Amino acid sequence: MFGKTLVLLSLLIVLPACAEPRYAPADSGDKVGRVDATVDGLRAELPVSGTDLVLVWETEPTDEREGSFLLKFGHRDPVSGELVVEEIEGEISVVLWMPSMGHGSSPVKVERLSVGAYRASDVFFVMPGDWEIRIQRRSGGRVLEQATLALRI
Amino acid sequence: MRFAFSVLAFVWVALGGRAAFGSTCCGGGFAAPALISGDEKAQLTASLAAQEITTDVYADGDWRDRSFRETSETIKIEGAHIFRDRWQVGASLPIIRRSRSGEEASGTGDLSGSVGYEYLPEWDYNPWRPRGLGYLQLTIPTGTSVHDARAPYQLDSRGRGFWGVGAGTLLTKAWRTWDVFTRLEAHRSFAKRFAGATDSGILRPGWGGQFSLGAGYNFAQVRWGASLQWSYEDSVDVISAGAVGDVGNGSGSLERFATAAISGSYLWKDLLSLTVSYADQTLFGHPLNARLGQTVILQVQKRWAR
Repeated sequence: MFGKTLVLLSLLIVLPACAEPRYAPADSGDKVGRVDATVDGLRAELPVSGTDLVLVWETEPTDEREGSFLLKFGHRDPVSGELVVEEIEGEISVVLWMPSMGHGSSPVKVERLSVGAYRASDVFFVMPGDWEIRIQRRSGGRVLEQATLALRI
Repeated sequence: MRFAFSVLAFVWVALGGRAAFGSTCCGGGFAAPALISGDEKAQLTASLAAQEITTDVYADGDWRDRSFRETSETIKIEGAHIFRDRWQVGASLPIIRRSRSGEEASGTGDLSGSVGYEYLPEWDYNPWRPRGLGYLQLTIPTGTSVHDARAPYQLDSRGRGFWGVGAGTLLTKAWRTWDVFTRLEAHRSFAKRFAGATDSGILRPGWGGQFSLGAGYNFAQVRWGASLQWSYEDSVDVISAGAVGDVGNGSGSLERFATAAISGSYLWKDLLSLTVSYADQTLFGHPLNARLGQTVILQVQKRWAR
């Protein structure tokens, strides 16, 4: 009798606690999910200088492989809407950050290609989750301004 | 009396296994304290836990099953000793190996120590009043945290990275062939500076807690048990160094999950026990911002009578 009562009580506690998984849509699986995607890439703005930037993936990272993207800085032509590439002052760095857990991923290499154009390589998100690509303009090691692109991995 | 003694020893074995389940993010978490819940003078526990992360849960509650394999093995040594009759001290040290895609890293996890006091002793074997233990626990961040990790896939992350203190209570009760236990704990982690591969600054964690319920059925020298533990951690806030204004600063998301476990124990020569457990974090609770895994644990415990 005692055993049956204990089992019944346990079931009353345990059954309402069963998990109810809500799976993320399939298209947010292995590929990098795009936010604010346009035909020519992801767009953002550095808030202090008002510099526009466009991010275009060369190789999208996967769970096992690093990726790379191109960054172009400049100002958008008010008539055509296209980016007019311009030189940008300071150093450009890219940080991959997982805000929900408060940590980053492995370092991203950034190399200057030409006026206002950079390549970011070794782009790898260390675990699935909601990530940010933080594109930073620095001077003397200080972050002057930052544009953030949100991604679901 | 001897049977009750054995049952309580088994309860501890079931609890001790919880310590090996690890946490959801990146190799470290708050461990259950090393406590003597029976009538022994001392105990030493060695456990081997093999875990596979199977599911990621986003901060908004969406689930995603893993498409790659990430595993860890934890060897844990725990010891506890009675002093001044109702007081006890304990300590535990995990050694963790994490593996993913052919890469692996190993080393120590977070060290923890505890002081316990038996505030509800079981001297008269009252049929209803439980045995109660209160404890204070200190977590020392000896394991590399995810913020300081440098290895591929951050596999060298084996701890939370924060000093922490906790207080909790463990209540146990045995009736004939049945036993039940519950544990409630609150803990606080403290801010620290970090300098990671991609950023630096100050991390501000907060409060956390655990609540466990468990029951077991005992016959001869064997106990079958089941337990459920809910875990919660406040978000970690980041204050980025070297930033102008609040660039890089941010608040994280709270983390919660539940761990269900079943176990089988065999008591050999009264003071030596062997336990095999299976724990699953995908079955219960409403997890948020967590990495869920399945774990098999093998545990051997030696106890010394008073």
